[in-house]
Amino acid sequence: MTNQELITELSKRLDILPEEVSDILETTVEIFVKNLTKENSVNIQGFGFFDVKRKSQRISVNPISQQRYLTPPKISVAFKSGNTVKEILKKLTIDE
Amino acid sequence: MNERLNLQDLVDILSRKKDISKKDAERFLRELFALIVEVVAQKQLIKIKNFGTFKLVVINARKSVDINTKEDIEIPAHYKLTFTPDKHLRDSVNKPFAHFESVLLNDGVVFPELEISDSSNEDRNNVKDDNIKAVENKENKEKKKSTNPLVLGLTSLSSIFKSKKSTTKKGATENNEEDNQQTLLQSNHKNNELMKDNEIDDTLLPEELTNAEDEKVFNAPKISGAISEAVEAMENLSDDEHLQEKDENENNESNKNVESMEEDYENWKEEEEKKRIEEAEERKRFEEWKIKQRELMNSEESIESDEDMSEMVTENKSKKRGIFLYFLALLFLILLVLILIFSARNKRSAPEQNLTEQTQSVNDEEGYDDNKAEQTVTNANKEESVPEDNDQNQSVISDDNEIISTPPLVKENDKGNVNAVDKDDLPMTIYLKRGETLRLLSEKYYGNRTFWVYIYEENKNVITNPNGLYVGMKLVIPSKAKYGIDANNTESLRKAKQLENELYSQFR
Repeated sequence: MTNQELITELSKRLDILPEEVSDILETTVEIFVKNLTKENSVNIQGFGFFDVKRKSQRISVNPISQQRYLTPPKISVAFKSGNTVKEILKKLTIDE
Repeated sequence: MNERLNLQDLVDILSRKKDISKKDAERFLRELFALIVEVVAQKQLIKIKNFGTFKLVVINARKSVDINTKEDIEIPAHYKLTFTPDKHLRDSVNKPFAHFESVLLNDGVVFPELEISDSSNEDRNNVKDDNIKAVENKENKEKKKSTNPLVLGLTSLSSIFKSKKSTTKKGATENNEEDNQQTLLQSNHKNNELMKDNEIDDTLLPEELTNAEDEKVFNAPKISGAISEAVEAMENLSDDEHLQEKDENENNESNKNVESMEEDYENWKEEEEKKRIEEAEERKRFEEWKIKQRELMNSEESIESDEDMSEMVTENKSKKRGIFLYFLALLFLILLVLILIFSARNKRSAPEQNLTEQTQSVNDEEGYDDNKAEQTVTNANKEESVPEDNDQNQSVISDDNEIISTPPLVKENDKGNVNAVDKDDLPMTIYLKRGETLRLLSEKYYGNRTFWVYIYEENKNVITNPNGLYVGMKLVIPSKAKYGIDANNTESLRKAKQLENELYSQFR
């Protein structure tokens, strides 16, 4: 589902104009980005937990050329799904 | 920092930002996450602009152990909700580290522990830096000559001898002698190793190698003794005219470097000292004032009944407060003046330092050419021993002297890159602030991060390790023309990249 489809679906369910939904969604994303940038974590009960992790530098090896690279440290976003979601997903049958 | 927000916090912020009721905001957020779960449960992925993608991945069944019963169990294959942040989110979160790039590591680069640089170490590093500079000057010289370990031992000893000489001049002998002895032992040890393995030497001991190269040419016949005779050889070396000249050149340079460094350090120390004294004085005054206040308060309480007295006391109090304020103003003025003086002095000293550095490098190069020229001439003397050659020799020397005495601009003319007059304020002197890196500075002044190498080049005498800078460090940002810096020129960029790689392999 793309961003546009998400907006249309939400506007249908919430009964508000798609433009408004798009506007609010953008602001929500902005809030997320801003807080995660400040290294705050966001916990959505039942959905999941957005966290920021600091990863130290490491040496990575290109498996083909065997060249070694020093990969710099970085800060990245980590997501852990919540229990409710996990329960729902457990019920899904796996089909390949 | 490191707050933990929940849905309610998000609702609050959203309602405030979008000016909607909290109820609406909450409804929106709940619906949003419910929808995400719903879509994902249909095994679809869902993309949110500027945020990221939610997707299901299959986790294969695996064996595990029950924590309580310690029985082997099998976790069945299942789905897991994953989130991949969008580029926008990723970049803004990683912003503090954004200027890092992954770097190709050369062979044989081992990860050393972070260098702990104390004062005695710095001197050696300086010498090393000089040698590296010399290496760059002789880039075209062939490097893969078979290295005689004996020569190596001697030259490393001679380099130690040099550093000893320079240190005795400085008068800071004790530490350095210990240091030297250590290096002596090390080099002896290294020699043994080198017998077996010359290759490692190429990478590990560039300074000694290059020394060996240029000294071996005319010293090799003399060096026939064992390492134990190296002390004698050292004396021979000092007798050697050309070598001595070279010694002196290098000594001068390292001395100058060290001196300027020490000067900087002294300045800084003085400043700090003054500040500390002033602060202490201020604190003392404040304490005194506080005590007086307390006394006054006490006296006020005791003589509360007597109105005349209390009036007098308050008068007294206000007077004292006035005096104190006056003192404060005076102090502030003194501080201001001091700061002004210091900044003025630093501005004045910056270009001077720049100039001396330039002349130094020129001297160094010239000195080298000088040596080479004389060397060939003396060789000629030995072979032919014709009196005319002596005249030639003298004329050559006088020519060289002339070149040395000419200002550095001439040298740059020779090279072909004449210093164009800068429209910017470069070169300029700055003091490193918290959070600034060479890369960031380079981006600020040159428009590309790769050019940090030139800032490092310019400040080699101050920066012992480009990975270890300290706040308040005095750095000279060189002019663009000096190193041919042009952010739009691929050739210039490529050169900087190359230099960068060399530095990386050197410091990692």
